[in-house]
Amino acid sequence: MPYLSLEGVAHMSEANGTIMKAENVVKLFPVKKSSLLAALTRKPPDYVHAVDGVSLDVQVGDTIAIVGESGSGKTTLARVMLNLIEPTSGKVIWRGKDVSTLDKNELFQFRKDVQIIFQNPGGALNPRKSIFRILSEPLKLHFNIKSGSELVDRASEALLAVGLNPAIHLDRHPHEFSGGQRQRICIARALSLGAKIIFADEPVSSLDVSIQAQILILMKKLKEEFGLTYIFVTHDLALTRSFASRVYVMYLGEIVESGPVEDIFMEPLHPYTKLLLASTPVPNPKRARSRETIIPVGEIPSPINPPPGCRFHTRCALAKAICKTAKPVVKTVGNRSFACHLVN
Amino acid sequence: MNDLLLNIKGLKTYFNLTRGVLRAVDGVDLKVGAGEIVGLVGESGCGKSVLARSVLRLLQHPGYIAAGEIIYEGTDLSKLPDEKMREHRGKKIAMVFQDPLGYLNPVMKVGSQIEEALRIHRPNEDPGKIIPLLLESVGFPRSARIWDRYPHELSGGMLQRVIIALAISCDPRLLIADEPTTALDVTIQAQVLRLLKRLCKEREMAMLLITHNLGIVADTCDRIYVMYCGRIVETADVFSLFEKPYHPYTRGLLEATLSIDEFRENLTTIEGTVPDPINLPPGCRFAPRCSAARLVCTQADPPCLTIDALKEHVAYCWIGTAEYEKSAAPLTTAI
Ligand SMILES: Nc1ncnc2c1ncn2[C@@H]1O[C@H](COP(=O)(O)OP(=O)(O)O)[C@@H](O)[C@H]1O
Ligand SMILES: Nc1ncnc2c1ncn2[C@@H]1O[C@H](COP(=O)(O)OP(=O)(O)O)[C@@H](O)[C@H]1O
Ligand code: SF4
Ligand SMILES: [Mg+2]
Ligand SMILES: [Mg+2]
Repeated sequence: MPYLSLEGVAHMSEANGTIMKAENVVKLFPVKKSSLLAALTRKPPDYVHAVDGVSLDVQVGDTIAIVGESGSGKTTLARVMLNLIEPTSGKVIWRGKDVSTLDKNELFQFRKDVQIIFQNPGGALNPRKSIFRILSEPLKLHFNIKSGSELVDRASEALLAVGLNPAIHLDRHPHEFSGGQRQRICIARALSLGAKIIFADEPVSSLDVSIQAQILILMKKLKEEFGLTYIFVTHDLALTRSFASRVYVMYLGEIVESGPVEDIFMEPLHPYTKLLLASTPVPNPKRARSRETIIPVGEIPSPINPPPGCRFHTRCALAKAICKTAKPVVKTVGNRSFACHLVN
Repeated sequence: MNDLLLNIKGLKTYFNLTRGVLRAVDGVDLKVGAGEIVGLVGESGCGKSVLARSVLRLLQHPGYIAAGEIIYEGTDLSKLPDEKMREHRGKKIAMVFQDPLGYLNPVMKVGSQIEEALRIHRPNEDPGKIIPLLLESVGFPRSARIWDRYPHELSGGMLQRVIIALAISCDPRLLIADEPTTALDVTIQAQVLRLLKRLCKEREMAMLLITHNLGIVADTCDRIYVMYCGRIVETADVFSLFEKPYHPYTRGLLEATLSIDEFRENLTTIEGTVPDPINLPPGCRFAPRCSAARLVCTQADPPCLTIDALKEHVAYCWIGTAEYEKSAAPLTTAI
């Protein structure tokens, strides 16, 4: 019985259009000070501006890439959108509903519909449980299945879908698998719950290139088979070029540029996007030696008290006086957006 | 290639484990010319770090050099007594690793750590003069007073530059850099790679750059070795390797590597995973994953084929030989 194709809450909203949305999401983390120091200084607490006013629109069937260097707030944004942490302000909309107002039943649906896979798949799998238990326990919880044979059928089907062999693998434990196989198990678990929206936080960063490609090929196949929507969180621009449909470039908690992947790569507009692209090595010695070089200046500043004006100005080769004082407004041209004083 | 600086011949480095003998490096020939930047690429576990550590004789127990020669400026390092080796290390060959914190003392200021290295190798010079210059040469302005800082006060990219300053403090002619930028963000990676290239040029220093990133070797290296399961499978000048890869492993790696320059509708890859290093397959070690494998590949070590003598392009593969043409149809490979 093909369970996988039956599952999912796709019927809950129309087949196309926006499936998920972030509206002006802000997430600040208070910086911990010793209470004595806090009492003495009486200064208001400092905050890490992890995500600072991000809006993002996910269409059904999209593969979104949220790109940027570490510390730019990508994972925090994903955690807010997954309803794992509450935003300081702003809203997350899922299939037309504000996730902070979901009732118990809707929240249950959300937990099945929206799943995440991580960079380190080992950490997401309990080492003491067999693969069968890892796959069947959430099934019991979410679908209230009591029949052992149905659990076996469902777990087997999910393993087959990700290229593993249930006859051999169901009884094994996570440590008996390679990194690539463990990522397949995490994907199988998400699929078995009928997930339609999958967040992938650096899903292949810790894997070798041949295994990275194996997982990416699998994810592409599953997307077509089950009509999935992906949100990739990644620092890997090469992966983004071939896998994403739409890109959001993040820097110090803000989106500095967004648009369709081909537009962004063919003609990056924001100086930070240009810097990221110019810094990424290309596997082509002739191109590597002939392309434009941008010398990267400095490092990403602390997200506690981020720079005033444009947050990128401390590293931007083009920065003018206005960049240091005034925050650039987001400009939208067609389906592209960017926030820079000097680009129109 | 200019004058030969390092010439590794038939190097075998093994680990005797209770499960059996792990042949981490198993008959490697590798050369580095003076001032040359040579890349060593391959996926994790193929023996790159063990090879690098063998050159400096920094092997971890129970690793040992089982055979071969490591000729550095005419001296066979593999046979050098330990005290003599200590003189070479740092002074003639220096090394930079992926994780700089592991090689710095957390409770000692950066300046004192460099001073210590200088005291051993350049005892007659004034560290107060050299240290600021060294730190400047890796991109720290004097005003930053980095010598006055502790390691934990510095970012990953800054630490790696401190390590590079330490490495070049005794003017080595060869720098071995083992995944020096793997833990860094792309913009910082670009800074560090640019720095390494500049130092090599300015100081006429050679570099053996170890990485799993084909973009980095394309960008940085003059010549490349591709390693798989303890052996070199292909080597060539960087242009020749990327334009005419011969070995199916090299081809597979290149095909699986995505680029910001190109949208790839259909990605292809190498199936399966690397074999257990203690139970390596007979013949060509890549055969179980190779879509071009024939019976002969599983029976005998592949020959060394010259692909392009001018480009020093060599591959170890049966493809194109008479034996291969005669050999039975592809095996059903079990991965
Ligand atoms: N739970 C937390 N408490 C305090 N600071 C946090 C927390 N989670 C993340 N941060 C900080 O928020 C910033 C953004 O982090 P993160 O979202 O992990 O970025 P990315 O995924 O882009 O690397 C970082 O400076 C990080 O240290
Ligand atoms: N100290 C050690 N003890 C046992 N095996 C080791 C040790 N160091 C490395 N190895 C083994 O040697 C092989 C090559 O490892 P390494 O050189 O680190 O690979 P790479 O650097 O290419 O990723 C691996 O199979 C690894 O497990
Ligand atoms: S607004 Fe100014 S500082 Fe910011 S990226 Fe544009 S040019 Fe640079
Ligand atoms: Mg992250
Ligand atoms: Mg290594």
